[in-house]
Amino acid sequence: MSLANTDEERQMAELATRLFADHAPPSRLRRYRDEHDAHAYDRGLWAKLVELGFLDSALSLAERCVLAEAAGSVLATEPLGVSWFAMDLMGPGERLVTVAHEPMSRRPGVVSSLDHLVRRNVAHAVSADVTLFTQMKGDEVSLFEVAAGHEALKVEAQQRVDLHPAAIVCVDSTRLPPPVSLSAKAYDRALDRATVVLCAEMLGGAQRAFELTLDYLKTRRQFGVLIGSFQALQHRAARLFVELALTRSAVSAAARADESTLAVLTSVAKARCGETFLRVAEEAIQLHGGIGMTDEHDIGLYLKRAMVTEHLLGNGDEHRRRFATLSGF
Amino acid sequence: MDEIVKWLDENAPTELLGTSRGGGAFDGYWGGRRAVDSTPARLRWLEVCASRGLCAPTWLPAYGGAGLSREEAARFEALLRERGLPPPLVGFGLAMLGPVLLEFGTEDQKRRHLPGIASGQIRWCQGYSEPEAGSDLAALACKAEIHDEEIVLTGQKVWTSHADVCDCMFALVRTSTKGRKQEGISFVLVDLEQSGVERRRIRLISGASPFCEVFFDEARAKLSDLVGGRDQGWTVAKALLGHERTAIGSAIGSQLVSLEKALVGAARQHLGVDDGPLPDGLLRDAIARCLIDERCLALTISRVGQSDRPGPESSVLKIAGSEIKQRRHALMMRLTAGEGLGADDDVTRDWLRSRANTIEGGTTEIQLNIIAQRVLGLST
Ligand SMILES: Cc1cc2nc3c(=O)[nH]c(=O)nc-3n(C[C@H](O)[C@H](O)[C@H](O)COP(=O)(O)OP(=O)(O)OC[C@H]3O[C@@H](n4cnc5c(N)ncnc54)[C@H](O)[C@@H]3O)c2cc1C
Repeated sequence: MSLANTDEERQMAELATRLFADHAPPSRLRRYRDEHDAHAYDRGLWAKLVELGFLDSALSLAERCVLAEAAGSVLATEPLGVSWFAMDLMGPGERLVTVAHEPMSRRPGVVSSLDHLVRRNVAHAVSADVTLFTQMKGDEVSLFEVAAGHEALKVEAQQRVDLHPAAIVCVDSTRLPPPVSLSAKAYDRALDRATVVLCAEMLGGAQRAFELTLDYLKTRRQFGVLIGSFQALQHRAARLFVELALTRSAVSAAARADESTLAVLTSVAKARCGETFLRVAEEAIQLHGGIGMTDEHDIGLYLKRAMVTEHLLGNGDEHRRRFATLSGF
Repeated sequence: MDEIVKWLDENAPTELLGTSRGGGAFDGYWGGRRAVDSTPARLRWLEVCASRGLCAPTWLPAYGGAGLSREEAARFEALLRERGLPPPLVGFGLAMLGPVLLEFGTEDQKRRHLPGIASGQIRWCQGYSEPEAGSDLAALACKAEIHDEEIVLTGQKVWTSHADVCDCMFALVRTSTKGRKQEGISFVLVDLEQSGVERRRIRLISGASPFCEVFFDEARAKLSDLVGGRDQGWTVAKALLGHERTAIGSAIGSQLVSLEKALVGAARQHLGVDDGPLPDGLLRDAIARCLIDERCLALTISRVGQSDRPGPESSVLKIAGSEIKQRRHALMMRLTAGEGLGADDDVTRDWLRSRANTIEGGTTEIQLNIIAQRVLGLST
């Protein structure tokens, strides 16, 4: 199952799936954790992805989504999402750039004063050559490009539950070079595209968690039969299948949206993906029984990623609210 | 009771006042010789209560209890709650093994084992599940051979919570392979401090609270520690599960006030408002739902939950209690995600741990089967 529609997209999906399967099994997340590796991605694999053109500026959003889905299905941590986001904001480049964007709705605790910009959950901030801070100012968005090691920049790695690399970054904006400014419209478009890519990644994760569970229903025996032969469990699996079908349609449509539909389809997809990924992952653990609760089994990693991604780039509440606003009610 | 109030005011360690997290049957000090959660205050609190039999208030003094009636015991618990005091002792011994020993044990077994439970000296774990016997518990295979006065155990248990810090295990073992699989099972008490027992920790997805695999290689138990008779263990096993389900289901029913404070407090912080109605209607509704369900659960516990022999109603409590708890923890995650999502945050760990509530002690699906088949008469 893939978001790919064209032959070319299918080839990309196949290639990406194979690469990630060979080099990025979910189990490596535990290794990164246990080895306290704050970068938590494979630089060899990353170089290979770049070489293969995964960062090609000519890739369409749909193509990015095809790759992100493959990455999400093994919970890969390579910095595809942030790199594409940064590219949409400041054009292509050689350096690893992460985006310290404003949260969709401001929360207390994220204290951004005029002088200090603080952002949480900034992906790959520890490894990035550049951190790009965004700040809304009316109809414009200021972009501050801050190089790693800049004296005004503080980066504190988060020990986040999903084991993907992220950090809290803080910058003293009085000591920064003047920002580049971008129209709010262009910024929103880039943010939406980044959100759709995240959705594709979530879809990949949800789909894989479902498949792992389906496999388990077909191998685990209790009461002398396969547990998948219990009608109660068959219906549970069938329900997840229904959810996934709806979710896949939403992501697929968002990935191919035009200028006029991107915003609303992004919110449809993100609201839907959050619910589906969490529900599938929770059910997956339940249907695995005791083994699903162990650190050693991969299925728990999907639940953790589901919870984190629900809260990245706007959670379900925020996207449902935005959907309502965009729809005029 | 006046006398108890006075006694409480004189003896309850001030450090513990207001510290109860309200987790019910499993929230407090677990005791045992390998205790990992002891503090001077907890030990003092345990000692003063144990000396008056108040860790197991309804048990007879000869068994280490205080001989109180159910009503008196409930009043004592209410007094602790008012002061935010955790129970002096919690655990599988008090909540699960004790009640079945009282029902099925010989006088000798009661006198040998109940006082150690009630004083917190011996901590017990539950050796039921095996790799091939989870929901299908009666398929268990751990072998027990009886030689004179001794039982020799060979086999494996899995998902044994806290086996690494327990002194003894109540285990289900196979003493016969003839007849229906339920008919060859025995319930036996095993000392884990012996050479034939190996315990390996298994890490949970929450990182904390490890459970274990336990391997028996010709481990020994006494024939006099077989509870309920040879090959008769299934009846004891099921009765114990009734107590376990009630305990898991009740785990949030006991302290509604502090639970309400925790949720509403997190919401206020999240929204940045100190008082008044919560300005976010969605959250207000979600919290109200959660609290209403918790209240209904508490009311159900007081209506049907207190029994020496919980029947199928324990499945109702288990299903409702575990699902409500999961919803609460998911809601806490939603409220704290802005600053949270940390692997080692209590909120995160509690959320992850709560996913096991619908699995341990018999899964939700198994409880639903029990209700459908045994209560509603919908046979397969
Ligand atoms: C945190 C934790 C602590 C635990 N502590 C202990 C302990 O201290 N001692 C102990 O002995 N055990 C303990 N357990 C084990 C627990 O009791 C088992 O995990 C549970 O009974 C399920 O068994 P299983 O894991 O083998 O899952 P399975 O039985 O393999 O179940 C897998 C899935 O199939 C479903 N299923 C199975 N049969 C049916 C059916 N007939 N109809 C519909 N659905 C069905 C289950 O509901 C589940 O969703 C613990 C488990 C956890 C997670």
